[in-house]
This record gives sequence, C-alpha cells and structure tokens, in this order.
Amino acid sequence: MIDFRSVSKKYGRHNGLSNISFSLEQGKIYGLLGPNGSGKSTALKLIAGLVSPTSGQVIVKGKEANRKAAADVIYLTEVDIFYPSFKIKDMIDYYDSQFQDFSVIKARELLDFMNLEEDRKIKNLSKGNRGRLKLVLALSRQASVLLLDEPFSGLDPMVRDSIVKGLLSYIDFEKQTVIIATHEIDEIEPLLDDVIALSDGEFLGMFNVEELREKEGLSIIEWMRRTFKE
Amino acid sequence: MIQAYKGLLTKDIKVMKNYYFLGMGLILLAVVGGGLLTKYFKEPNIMAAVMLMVLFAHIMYIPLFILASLNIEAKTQTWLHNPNSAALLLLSKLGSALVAYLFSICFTLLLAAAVYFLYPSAEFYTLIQGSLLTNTLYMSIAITFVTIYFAVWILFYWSFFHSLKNVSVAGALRWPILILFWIIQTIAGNYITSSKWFEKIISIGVIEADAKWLSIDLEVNQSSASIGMNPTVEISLVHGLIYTLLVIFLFYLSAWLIEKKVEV
Repeated sequence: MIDFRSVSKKYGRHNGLSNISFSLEQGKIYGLLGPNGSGKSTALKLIAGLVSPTSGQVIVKGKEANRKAAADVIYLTEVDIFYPSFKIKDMIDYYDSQFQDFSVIKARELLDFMNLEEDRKIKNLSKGNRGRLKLVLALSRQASVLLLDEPFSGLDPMVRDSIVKGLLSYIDFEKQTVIIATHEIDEIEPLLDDVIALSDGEFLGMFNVEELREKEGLSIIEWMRRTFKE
Repeated sequence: MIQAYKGLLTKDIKVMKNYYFLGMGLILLAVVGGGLLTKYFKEPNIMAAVMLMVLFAHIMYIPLFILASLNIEAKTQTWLHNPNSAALLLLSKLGSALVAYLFSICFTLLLAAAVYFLYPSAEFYTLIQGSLLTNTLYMSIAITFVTIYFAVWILFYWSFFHSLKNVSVAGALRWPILILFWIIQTIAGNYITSSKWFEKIISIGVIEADAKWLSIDLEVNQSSASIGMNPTVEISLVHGLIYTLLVIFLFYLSAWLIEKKVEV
C-alpha cells in the first residue's frame, strides 16, 4: 500500500529523515511515534506528496507519491487549514468541489455528530471546534489513505474524546490505511495495530502493539518511554 | 474539471472579498480626496487628473490581488493538498483577480463619467485628442493587457521564491537570488528588445491603428507640445505574439515550479 524505499529528506543542511525504509499494509491503523522534530510530519507530507524525498522513493498505491496523490490520500495537518472568512458550509462546498470522493451527506452526518452548525463562521470557532471540523473534512472523504498529523495537539480531553469517537465510527477499518502521527497517544492506544518509531529522522523500527503487550508486557506509553530514553 | 475550477474560483473570490472592498474603498478615498481638493482650489482639473491616476493605478491591480491571494494560501496547507493540477489552481487565481479587476475598473469608469458630468469644464479633457469615451476605453483595454502581463510575472516570481525554500544555501538567500534574477532578466530583456534582429522580427506583420488615445497635448505658454503625437501607431502582430507566448510560458513555468518544486 505504502512503501518507503531508502528515503532521505533534507531541509537545507538539516536531515528531516535519514535513509528510512518500511512498508504499510492496507486496512491497518499505524501510530507514527516520536518526539518533536523526529520526522513524523515529514513522513506524512512525503506520503501526501507535499514534499519530495531528497533521495529514495515513496510509493503510494503503486505510484510514486507526488502532489496528485491527494486524490488517494487524506491529509489532516496540524496547522490551521481554514480560510478565516469562510463559514463551515463554504469549507464543505470547497472540499466537495475539489475531491471526487467527498460525500456531503457524510459531512452533514459528521457535523451533527460533532455538534457543529454549518452556518457558523470559522473565525468564531474555538480551537476545539476547529479540530473537530478538520476531522469532519477528513472523514467525509473515502480515500484509502488517511494521514492525521497531531490530531490532538492543544485540544482538551472532551474534544480528544469526540475525535477518537469520530475515528471509531467513521473509519472504514477494512479499506482505509490510517497513519496517526502523535506524541500524545493515551487516547489512541486502543486503536493502533502497529507503531512506527522515529527519532531524529532515524527509523527505530515498526512494532505490533499486541506483541508489545503480550511479549514484553508493555503499554505503548511505557514502550515509548523506554525507547526514546535510550 | 469544470466543477473543480468553479469551486476554486468561488473559494478565491470569497477569500479575497475583503481585499476587493479595500480596493473599492481606496478608489472612493481618492475620489473624495480629489473632490475636496477640487472644491478647495476651485480647480476641476484636479478631479479629472485624479480619475486618470486611479485608472492607471489599475495596472498594478491584478498583480497585487494575486500576490495577496497567494500569500494567504502560503499560510495554510490546504491549497496544495489538492488533486487538481497546479495550472488549474493558478488559473483560478488569475480568474478571480480578473473578475475583481473588471468590477473595479468598471466602477472607476462610472465614477470618471460622473466626474465628467460634474466638471465638464475641466481643461484636462481637451488635452486628450479625439473622442474621450473611445480613448478611455482604449486606455482601459491597454491597462488590462499590461496588468495581466505583470500578474503572470508575479505568479512566476512567487513560485520561484517558494521553490527555493528547501534548496540548501539558496533557501537562506532567496531574496538576493530573486533580486539578482530580476536584474538579469531586466538587462537581458533590454538587450533583446534593443537589438537589431529583434527590431527586424517585430517589424513583420505590422498594422497601423488610430492612436489618438495615446496622444495628450501639453500646452506650455501659448506654444503647444505633445506626447505621442502620431495620430496612428504601428502595432506589431509578431510583438504581440511574442508577449502572448511569454505569458503562456511563464504561466506554465510557474505551474511546473508549484507542481514539482514548491513544498509545504
């Protein structure tokens, strides 16, 4: 589904990612873990085709990732993606016009689920509601790859909870591959199949969450504390 | 693709709504300012000159509009996370700017007409040879071509600037590189347009057109002088073709840079 083949990404003289390789399968939920600056966002942007590798290849559904990958990839970024003068409805209409897999019906259902009103101006929304709206826009698409970059960043526990519930209710667990980059994994631990660990742009490994629990008797948080301390 | 373009255009117009009203506000401010000065100095020429200045200021309308619009996009990661081609994204920027421009220039022309009827005695009008209405329309068409031409250069420079962001060394020197590139481009442009072979090329397919609208007589102490005295002007079709090709080339080069080199 997604292949990283000896991928390196440099930003000027700084190494974003250093020669990393791994493969991701369809229908799994991955946690992309690591401290700030570990290369998580860069890895997601590479899959979304928003940045290009300095060397190596990123393959998404058999094709080298480029900007056109947006047709197959949903990318929820950490930054504020909204145009301040827009209403929620305008953002829905805009996404509907740009992405063929966008479902307005699903968007309205999600808005209800998240308690958001279409006529509200985005600039008047709280940070939590903006986070919810980002998820509404992402989950209203039916693309096979869903990338979530720090979806819980700066959000209170209630919003985090509604986001997790949204994910549980609206992800197509068989068809969609979900990659969640975060360093706050309390809420998503039960969702994850595998975790990928990155540190300073280096690939530390990919681990099955069940095996970590069963063989090493560690929760992901405990495993992270141990891994990133070393 | 039509639905996608419609969506992009609607989005770009909505995003830039406030800038559009700001432009309208500035025009009104200039007119009110001109009106007050006209009243204070009892000189109707001031108002007519202000209207001409406002009309000519539209040369920078589309470039500035597009620059503001692109800078809004640079703040979010929404614009480039889009399966449609960069050419379509840029075409929507041009389209939305053109819509706003047309409203603005029509508004200016209406105000100019109102000013003409309010101050018909201004000597300023007699300086323009031929029909005032026809000449103003010709001027507006010429301004439209020039503003589109500058706008495409802005698209190119913006894309070039952002494509340098993640290039090692060059990333930190983006402004000097951009300025250097502009200097080289200006020198090369001047060299080419002043060369004899270029003059020969553009002399192919020349047509003569009435150009009274380019001619403004300036009276100085009883004696009369004028700018662009020729009642006719030679329009080179090849020259026009070269500029058209340059605009298309710059547009697609900008789209290519955004597609391949600009990173979020």
